[in-house]
This record gives sequence, C-alpha cells and structure tokens, in this order.
Amino acid sequence: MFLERENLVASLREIRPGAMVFVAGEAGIGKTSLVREFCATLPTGTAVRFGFCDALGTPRALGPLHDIARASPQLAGLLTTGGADRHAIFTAFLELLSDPQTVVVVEDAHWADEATLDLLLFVGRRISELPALVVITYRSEEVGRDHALRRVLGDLATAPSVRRLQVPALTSEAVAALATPLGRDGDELFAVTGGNPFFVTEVLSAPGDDLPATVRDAVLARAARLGPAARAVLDVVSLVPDRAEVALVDAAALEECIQAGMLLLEGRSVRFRHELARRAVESDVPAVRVPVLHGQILDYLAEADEIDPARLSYHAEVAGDRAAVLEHAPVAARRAAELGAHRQAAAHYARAVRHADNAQIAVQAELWERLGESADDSGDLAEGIRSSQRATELWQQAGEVDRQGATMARCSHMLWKTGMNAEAHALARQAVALLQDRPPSPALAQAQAAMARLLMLGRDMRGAIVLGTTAVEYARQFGDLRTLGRALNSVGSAHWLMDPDRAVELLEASLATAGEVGDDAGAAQAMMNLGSGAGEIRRYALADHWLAEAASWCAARDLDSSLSYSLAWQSRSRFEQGQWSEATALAGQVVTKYPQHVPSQIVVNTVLGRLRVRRGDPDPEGPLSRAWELAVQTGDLQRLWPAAAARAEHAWLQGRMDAVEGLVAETYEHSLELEHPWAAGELGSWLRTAGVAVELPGYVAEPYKTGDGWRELGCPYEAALVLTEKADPEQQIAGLQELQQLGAWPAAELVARRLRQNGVQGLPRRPRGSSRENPANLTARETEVLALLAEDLTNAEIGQRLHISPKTVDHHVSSILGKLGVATRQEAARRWGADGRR
Amino acid sequence: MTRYLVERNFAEGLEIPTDDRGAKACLNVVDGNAQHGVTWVHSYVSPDHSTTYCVYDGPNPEAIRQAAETNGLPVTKITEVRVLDPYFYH
Repeated sequence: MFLERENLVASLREIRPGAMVFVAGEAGIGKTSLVREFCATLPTGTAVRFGFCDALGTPRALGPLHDIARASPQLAGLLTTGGADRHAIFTAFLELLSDPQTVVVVEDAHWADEATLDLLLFVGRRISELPALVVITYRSEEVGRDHALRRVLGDLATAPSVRRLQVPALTSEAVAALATPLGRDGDELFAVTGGNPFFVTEVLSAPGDDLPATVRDAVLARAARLGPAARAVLDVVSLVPDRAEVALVDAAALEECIQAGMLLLEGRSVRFRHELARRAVESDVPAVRVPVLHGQILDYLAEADEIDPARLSYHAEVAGDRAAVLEHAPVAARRAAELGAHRQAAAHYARAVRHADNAQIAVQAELWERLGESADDSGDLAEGIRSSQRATELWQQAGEVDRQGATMARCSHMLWKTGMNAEAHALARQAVALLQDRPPSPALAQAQAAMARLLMLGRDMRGAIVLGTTAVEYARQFGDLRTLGRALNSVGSAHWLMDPDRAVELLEASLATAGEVGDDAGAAQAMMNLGSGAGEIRRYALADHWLAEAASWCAARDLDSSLSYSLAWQSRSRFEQGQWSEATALAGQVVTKYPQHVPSQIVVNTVLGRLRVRRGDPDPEGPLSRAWELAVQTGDLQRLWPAAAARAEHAWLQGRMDAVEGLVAETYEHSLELEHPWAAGELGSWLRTAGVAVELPGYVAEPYKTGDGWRELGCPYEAALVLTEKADPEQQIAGLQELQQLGAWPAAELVARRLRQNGVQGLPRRPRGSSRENPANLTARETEVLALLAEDLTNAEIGQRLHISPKTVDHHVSSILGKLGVATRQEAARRWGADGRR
Repeated sequence: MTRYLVERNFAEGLEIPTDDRGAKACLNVVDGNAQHGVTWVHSYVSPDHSTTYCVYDGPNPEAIRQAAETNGLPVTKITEVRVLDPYFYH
C-alpha cells in the first residue's frame, strides 16, 4: 500500500541527474519508503547505493560512506587505510558519482558526523557537473537552528541543482482507507496518529481493540505478543543503535522476530523496521539489565573484526565500563579526527575524560590535551582553550615540562583566533621561556614556531626571523615536518620586507614540506602568504600568480577560510592595480559568502571603503569603520595600516585635512617601531600632506621618497596623483586625465580646482562619456573585449580569458558594435587597430 | 534597498528610439540590472541627451556599478538620496 505519495515520487522522477535532493519530514512519516519506492522504479542498470547515518550518541566518522564503499573497492581501500588523505577520499567519491546512472541515498542526515556533513557540502557544490543523483533524508524536527546540518542546508540554499522535498502526513481520507477494511475507526485512528504512516501501521498491527495512545504503546503492544526468547532478542537489538550483528543473538528466537515483522534481516546484520520502534523497545528494557546487556554486546564486538571503534566507545560508556571507555574512546577519537570529523573526535575525548578520574595524571593530561586540539579543529575555541588550560595544569603536576609547553603553544594560537591577541602573545612567550633553558626538544620547536608566527602576524619581522629560524633548526633536527613547514612559513613571511627573494625561497620550501606530510591547510597557508606577502610589497605579478594558485587549491578542498583570504587579497591586488571593477566583484563575493572570517573581512572592507572613497560613491564610512574596528581588535599593523590610510584619504578628499593626524598618527608610530617600509611610507606621507612636520625614515619604500616608480609597480592611481604634483602644467593635465580615466572623480575635482587656481589653462572638461576616456564611450570591460576581438578570438575564447560567460561576451560585443556604429566584429577589430590605443 | 541617483554622461548623446527597438533596449537594461539585484525606477534626460539622472534602487553602490557595467552604461556619480515631497507637510 503506497498511499498519497504518487506526487512526491513523480517529483523525484522529474529531477534530472546532476542534482542533490533533500527529503525532509518527521520521524515515521515515510521518507525511507518514499525513497525506496522511487529507487524501485529506476531503469535497470542504475546503480543505487545506500549510506546510513546512525543514532550512536557519537556517530561513526564517515559512516554512510563506509556503507556506500561496499560496492567500490577503490573507495573501500582508501577508507580502511589508516591516515588516508581526506581530499583523496572525497575525490574518490566524486569519481563514483561520475558514473552515469548512479543514485546515492544518504539516510538520516540529522545524525551525520562532521566529516559526512563536509562531504555532503563538497558534493553539493559540485553536483551540477556530475551525471548522478544524490538523495538525502533527514528529520526536519531534529534539525533546529543550531544543528550542524543547517550549515550544509544554508550553504547550499542558493545552489541551483539542490532541491528540497517535504513529506507531509497522510490525510484523514487515506487513514480511513487503511483502517476501514480492518474494521477500525478511521477518524479515531487519524486523531491519535496525526496521519503518521509508521504510527498508523503499528496501531493497525497491534492486538486488541484498545487504541494505543502513543507510538511507544503501539510498538510495545506488538512486542508483548512475542515469546520470552524472542523478546530477549528484541532487547539486545534495541541496544545497538546502528545495526546489530546476527551472531549477537539466538538464531531461532531471531527468526520469530523476523516472522512477526518486528525486525528486518539485511545481510549479516539485523535491525528494527523503524528507528521509532527501536527507541520504544530500548526504553522498555529494565534499567538494571541495560549495562549488563551493553557489556555483553561490547565483549562480542571487541572480539569481532573490523568494528568501528566509535561503536565500542559507545557501548563501553553505557555499560559503565571505565577501563573499556579509556581503551576504546581515544581510538575512536583518533579515527574520527583523521577523517576530519573533529566534533565527533572531541565528543569521544570528552567521554574518555568523564571516565578518567582514577587514571594516572599523565593519562588524564593526554586526554584533556587531545580534547582541546579536537575542539579547536572543530571550531569550538572556548572548549579548546578551557581543555588546553586543564591539560597544561595536569602536565605541570605530572612534571612533564615539554608536554606542558607544547600544550601552551597550541593554546596560544587558539587565543589568537578568538581575537585575544595580548593573551596569546603572553602565553606563547611563557611557553618559550619554560622550555628554552631545557635540552632542545620538539616541544621547544613548536613553542618557538607558535611565537614566531604571532610575531610575524604582528609584523615584528626581526623577532619572527630570530625565533622562527631556531624553530626550523630544531624541527628539522627532530624530524617534525609539520612544525618545520609552519615555522618555514613564518620565517619566510617575515623576510618579505627585507629580502623578498629569500621570502619566496623559504615559503616555497614550506609549501614543499607541507606537501610531503599531506598538510593541506599548511600548503594553503604557504601559497596564501606567498601571494599576500608579495602583494604587501606591491609585487603584483608574483602576488597574482600565488593568490590564484591558493584560491584554486582551497576551492578544490573546501578550505573556506583560506579561500576567502586569497579572494580578499586578489580583490586588494586588483584594486591597487586600478582594476576597480574586478576588485569590486571579488570583494562583494567575500563580504557575502564568508562573513565569519575576520582577517578576510578586514581586507575586503578596507578595499570596498577605498573604492567608494576614490570613486566618490555613497557611504564609504560603513565599510571603513567596520574594517577599522576589526583591525583595532587584532592590534596587528598589517590590518591597521591600510584601514588608517583609507580613512586619511577619505578625510583628504572631503577637505577635512585637520582630521588626518588623529586618524593615522598612532598607527604611523606603530609602523616606525616595526620599520615597515610601506606602512611608514604611506602613513608618513599622509601626515606630511596634512601639514604635520614629519621626517620620513630612510627605509621607507622608494616611491614614497621620490614619487617615482608607481607606474613601474603597476599602481596607476598613485602614479597619476604624482603627475599632478609636477611643475610642468602639461604633466599636471596628463595626471588629471589619468584620474578621470580611472573614474577617480573626487581626486580629479580636487586637482582640477587647484590647477585652475594656479591659472593652468586647457583643463579637460568634467566627465566625457564613460568612466574611461575614449571616443566611443566604451566601458573598461568593453575595451578589454574589443582588444581581444582584435586578436580574432571567438566569444567562448574571450569568455575564458576574462572569466565571464560567452553569453555575457555576446552582450558586450553587441554593445561595442552599437557604440562604434559598425555592423561586424571585423570592422570593430579594425577600428581598434586604427586607433592604436594601448 | 537604498535609493540612488546615478548621473551618466554620454558624449554622443543617448538616443533611444520610441519604437520596438527602443522598448527592447530598455528591457535589456532591466534584465542586466536584475543580475545584480538592482531596479531602475526612472530617469531624467537633459534636452541635448548628453546627461541622464537615473533613479535606482539597489543594495549598495557596487551593485549599481556592476549593473552599469553589464549594460555598458557609463557612471559619473552615484548619490544616495531620499524622497522629499513638497505636499508632505500639508
């Protein structure tokens, strides 16, 4: 009987491959039945694979993928190798989905572990390019506002190939149609069950005329009809939330349960017909028997092969077996962490910690330390810091100074991430002080690397180099490649201001080391710092190359925080090179898609504010004050300086020169302490413009001393401003024209007024045509398209070069033809050649 | 949504014929705006057709600029504005 579900099945059938469908509804509403019905009608030859998320308090890491991998030796191989690269596993799953006629069903995603959720997000972002269909079921009532699945649903909300289906309750007519043939009152049944199909079936299968009031009553009434042996089987199976092994229970009694329709046999495992039934039976097992039964299950599972440690960890806890918890929970935690299910790893460690009161101090310390790390990795920084502090105390009590120092080093980074910079510096300094008088150790290397990183981020380059270099030596000596990669990054990044070539060399070494140990995030950070470091000293070709590399590396691995930072810096780089519309598009992307990543938000809000200031657009104060407030929280020069300079520029263009000193003086002092050539140059120049008597130090970047070199660097706005300051009126006018071409109207007007006051003749008029001066009124983008037209490229090829769709190119081409008043692309191309511009 | 007044300058003058083609041209602009969440309310045009003042609704100035770029229209100045109605106080 499959009532009132035809429309839903039809909707599922209408969905073309290359889509992800979320099927939501309350427990027992028939999501699974719906999906099974749909799968049964698929054309023969379709490969349908099921994966189940289970109701273990702490779910198995990538549990559903293990189920799915049964049909894929390659994937199964990757999953069973310990320490397998997560990216490799995710990519292998994508390959599985590249087989046409593949349908993958992930059931009960409200119980999914963190790694599975990451996988769903990873697939959802790419599904439109695959020939497969992915169906995910979840209970809508379990997914509250703070539920982890919300993150996936929210992120995929706007993805075009993601659909949602809501499974409604049965109507009273449908319930009556089921009840009447059995001689039961349909209206009454509907009133009790609310049209929940599972409940309806259970009530109809329960004996007697009394209508059970709840699902639980209905299920238990059915179970009561079984003999004592069969009932004992039900009890055991009910205590195994995922799937019970057949060997766990008596075979003859099991048969009775299957005959009665209470349990289903699937291969060598057995489960309840529905999770609601399992819960009902579980709640009826006498409390005194629960630990005993769990103990028996644990004993059996511990001897069996290939049992996920998450299951052992669960049964050990409910059996109240402390020793078993301490044995299995840490194993389960490590397994989960390896696969990126950090929240579950933390839950397993937390479980172990709860049972560790009588364990040796060192064992407790180790567990708290790991709990802190897992919490950190899962983004729960408060728990991470709290646990690390507890671990630090315990290591100290145990007299393990090295471990104490290493834990403090890690904790300092957590503090930095929450924006507690002063506390972070203090703790890292303490860790180094604690360890440096002792014989060198990997812990010392880690503490030094942590401190060096904080110094580098705060732009104390000399300090970072001194400390980081020792960290590199020790990490190398002790073969700690992960620490080596991170330390090389800090030392490399710290070289940008003094010796950029050395910076590149060291960061490339950091990248290679990260690659060697499979540290994807470390590799991303190396590329990012190659890009942003080069950008900070205005070496744009190098910056743009590495920022693009970093962005594509991170995008393929869903490393969102590094991705957002790379995009933010791409936006800054385009902005400084006068490519304002590209900068605008990139910044908009970062603002809307990654609001929680503070460093990226500081960078793009500064860029957006500066864009509005230079274009004379409304409300530059909004983004600039956001950037400034966030920068002040970090206290780092690299964040403060651009925001301060932007606010000074805004004041200058508004004629509020008296405000400039207040806006930059403090940050200028900061830049002098750290001898930052670009920060000191830019901020010092603003002070001088505002009439403050300032002697620029000798180390400031060349263009700030002489005004020369902006054009060679690729900074047209600064180059134009310098031209307007020259003595020769012709040069002044040329500079003014360049400002107008950029669309920098406020600066252009300011300069024009000054030149007019000085009696300079023949100033170009206010805006003629488009934002860029050219006879045909072409926009910047159209000019780019025209240049490529002249190279005889097709729309598709032009689209590829400019990263826009061929359709958009077509749009631009029609507009160009219209503005040039020509009929063909060839004529337009000839006009480009004839004008000989650029 | 914020309201903006967008000033545009056309060196050759902006000619939109009052026929099917003109209608299509305007609809193209509306389509291009939609990609950026921007609404064109209406415009005032100088007698020589060299300057237009366009009233727009949009989420931010960047969206106004991106829409202009999609449509190949120049932007000279964007000002955030509010409505002032002379009969409001009566």
